[in-house]
Amino acid sequence: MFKKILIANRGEIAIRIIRACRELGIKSVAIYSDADEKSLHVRLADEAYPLHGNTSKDTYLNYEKIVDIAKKANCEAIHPGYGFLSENPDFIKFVNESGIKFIGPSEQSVRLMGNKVAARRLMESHNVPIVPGSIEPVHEIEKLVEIAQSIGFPVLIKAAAGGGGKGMRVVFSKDELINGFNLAQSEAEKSFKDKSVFIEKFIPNPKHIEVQILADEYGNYRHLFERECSLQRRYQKIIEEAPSISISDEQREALYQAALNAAKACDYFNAGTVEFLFDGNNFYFLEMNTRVQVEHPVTEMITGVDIVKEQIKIASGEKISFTQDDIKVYGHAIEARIYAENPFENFIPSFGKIKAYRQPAGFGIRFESGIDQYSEVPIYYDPILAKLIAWGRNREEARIRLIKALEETIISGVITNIPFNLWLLKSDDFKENLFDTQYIGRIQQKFENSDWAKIEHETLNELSEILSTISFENHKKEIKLNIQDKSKWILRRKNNDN
Amino acid sequence: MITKIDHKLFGHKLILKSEEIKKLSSEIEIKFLSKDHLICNRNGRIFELIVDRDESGNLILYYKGNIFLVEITKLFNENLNNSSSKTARENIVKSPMPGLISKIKIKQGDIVKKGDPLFTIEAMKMENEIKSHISGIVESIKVTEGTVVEKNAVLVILKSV
Repeated sequence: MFKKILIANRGEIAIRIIRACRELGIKSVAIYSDADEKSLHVRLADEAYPLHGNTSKDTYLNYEKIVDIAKKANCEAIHPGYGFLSENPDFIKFVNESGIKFIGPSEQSVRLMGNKVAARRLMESHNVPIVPGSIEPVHEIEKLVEIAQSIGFPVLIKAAAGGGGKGMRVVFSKDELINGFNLAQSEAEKSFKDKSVFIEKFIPNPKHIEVQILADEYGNYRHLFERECSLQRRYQKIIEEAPSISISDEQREALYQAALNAAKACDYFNAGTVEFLFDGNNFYFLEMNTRVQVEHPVTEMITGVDIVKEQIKIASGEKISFTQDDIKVYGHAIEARIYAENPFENFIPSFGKIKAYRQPAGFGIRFESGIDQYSEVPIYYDPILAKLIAWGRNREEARIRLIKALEETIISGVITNIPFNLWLLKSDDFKENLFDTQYIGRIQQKFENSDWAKIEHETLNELSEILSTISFENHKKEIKLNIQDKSKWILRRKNNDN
Repeated sequence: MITKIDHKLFGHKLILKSEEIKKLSSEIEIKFLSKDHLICNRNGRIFELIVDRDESGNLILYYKGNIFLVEITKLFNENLNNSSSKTARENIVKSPMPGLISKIKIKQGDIVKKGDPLFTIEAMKMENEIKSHISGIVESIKVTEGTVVEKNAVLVILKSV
């Protein structure tokens, strides 16, 4: 087993990895940008070294600086987390060539899955269902029209090198296709330096279902069942759950088999996720994420397997310690991502100093947070602050636990999407599983205009009354202002002045 | 004094008239855990509130996972002016609201003109300037920076000239 690992990430995932290292008796090395020098992941690590600078390019995306620190600190391996360099085959190559082990798949697997066209071709030849469309990139418009007409409109034009919703456009007619093709090509050229595009049938309002895979370097493959992540806003997942209640047991088995086929097709090892679109009857390969996912905890909660520890053990050369039959699904887990985004102003990022902070707790509650009351949310990076995961014996128990825990959570100083999460979780649509990947796009307006808070009118009245008493102090008799701890109050004030 | 309070709760608009507030009136006890973290007990019902302030001076209220933007328009100032005029005949300046004396802008013996700022009082993250309602000489200051005052607490005694 490794003695020391560098964690090439920040925030909640860096802390998740630090905890796994501790349990395995491994020393953890954090890296940090200038803005992150006091952040929680730095405070929790065994060692921490500065990257100098603030932009992602100068810090968490800078291969040379990261590998240099890893060498100087005698780290045997690097865990990339998610985002940043986690799916960059050139980084994997650079790390491996420096004599350091990359905790993740091989450079080749990542390169293969990173190219959407290559991945589609590979899946097609390994019995993994793909969305009907062109397998090869299409360069001539006549050919494109011909394929579009054979699969039927609407179709989706996708950049071969794209991902995460970038470089995609839906077209509904031949004319739109011709216009869209040129635009898509130039966009792809600009964004990815590769103008190859392909087309596939557009599946309206699909479910997003994905399968967690673990594989070791000895050819042992396991799946850890599925997650459903249909609640997304602009391809950014917000609420995820495991298992999915949208598919039958029969479809489930076929899905696992397809996911295992996908992993085997690229000689995959370590943790990975095979994502599918599900139209209610059929599922189609979407892409493979060659790293640990943000939403991995829901799988951990229902299986008891520590995915991050497994990643480290696999990278250190161990075999997977369990058979497929050892693993059972127990109960249901739901995760809500807490972003520093203002849901009332079209989710613009919110940053600043955290003021009040309280983590939720209790049976079945897990809080994976990158912040505490001393943290500052910098403007430079992803706005994810924390993830709240609730486990229950069934979906309804998990749902209610999650709602109650979100209500107990306090994060002030920045505006978070907690009110929006609560609104989604309390909705009948969520309760009855009436949502798909386009759902949030359709209802966002409703959230902004409606009685979103779902607070009884009585409570609103009470709040207003309290506010007016405090703010305006026009009810001399009713108010007893009782400052319990003056010294603390003054102290706080002084701290804030710094 | 106050005819209308607009509580624009992000997407929610709640307008309360002063008569209605009186009808609702009840025993409300407020305790501060810190200057922005309050426990309000209204007839035994507990409201744990976090109060913050945005750049435009609105209150941001956190309550049970919900976030409310409370727009307060001019009401504070009206309140201040009214209080000032009430004490106009006297030579003492009283606090128009409970709060924390965050800045004292005068010292004993200073000559102040009508309208000069005397104190800054902070309450609910709102900074309010207390101005002198008369011209005079500062005779004695009854508070220090950091003092928490009740409404109508005597802040300073002026000697008219």
